[in-house]
Amino acid sequence: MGRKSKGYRARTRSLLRRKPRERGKVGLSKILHEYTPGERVVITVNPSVLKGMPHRRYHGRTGVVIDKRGRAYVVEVAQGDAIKEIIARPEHLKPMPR
Amino acid sequence: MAKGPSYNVPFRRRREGKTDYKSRRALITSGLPRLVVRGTSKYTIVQIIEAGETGDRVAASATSRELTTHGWRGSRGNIPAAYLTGLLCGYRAITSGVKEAVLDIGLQTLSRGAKILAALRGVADTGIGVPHDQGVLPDESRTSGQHIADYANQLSSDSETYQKRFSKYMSRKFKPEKLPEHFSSIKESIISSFKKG
Repeated sequence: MGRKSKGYRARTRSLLRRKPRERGKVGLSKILHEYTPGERVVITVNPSVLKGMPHRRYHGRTGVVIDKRGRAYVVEVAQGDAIKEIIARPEHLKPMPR
Repeated sequence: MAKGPSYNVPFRRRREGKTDYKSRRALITSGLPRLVVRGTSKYTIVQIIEAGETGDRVAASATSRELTTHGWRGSRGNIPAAYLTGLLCGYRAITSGVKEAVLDIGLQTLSRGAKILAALRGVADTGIGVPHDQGVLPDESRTSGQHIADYANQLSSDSETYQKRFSKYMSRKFKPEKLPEHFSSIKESIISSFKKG
């Protein structure tokens, strides 16, 4: 038994992997989508895009867009009692389904 | 070649060899509208296109075919026509609120003083900010068609080749020697038509 890994991307072997047919670049309509402050979004990490990638902990969580910072968005996510600010590029976000 | 279930079919316009998707992506993520210039053997097409989530939108468009309605009697595929088309598209873009753009030449290859760059010069002269190097643009004498007039003067002693090279000009009863003056009068009329309205 070796020591348990505590790296940033620990236990992401299957989470940060895309199926062969889903590999490749993100479509432009996803990048061109403009989120407005107050809009609810779902965080879905896209492992092909390394920039502005949220931690695996937030994958599948929902949050509220607060601000745009460069090409990325600032998203507030509730985690227990705490509120976390995630900085994520639009490739890792999608609008909340109604 | 497809070699199994993981094969991805390229985009249609990639398969047809019409779009460079890498440059298209780079231009669109710049956030500015694209100044799309396409030259055919007979015409030049200039458009300003804004990218949107649901598709592209043409903000302003002009083709050298329209120059006839502005009184242009020269060829519609040459450098002066490309400049005038750029001018026309630039003024239309200003009226629809475009201030800046990036040049999109698609899969065409550029050389110094090319027809595409004459169109770029026309757009830039209207006041739309398009980043470019001043040194590559065709100079005033080429955009006004002085080189065509010079060539016509040179051929004037050899009437047979003159007839051959300028047959379309002859059928329109227009002397190619007068192209620079004709160019400046059409340019003035295009500018004044947009200054009024």
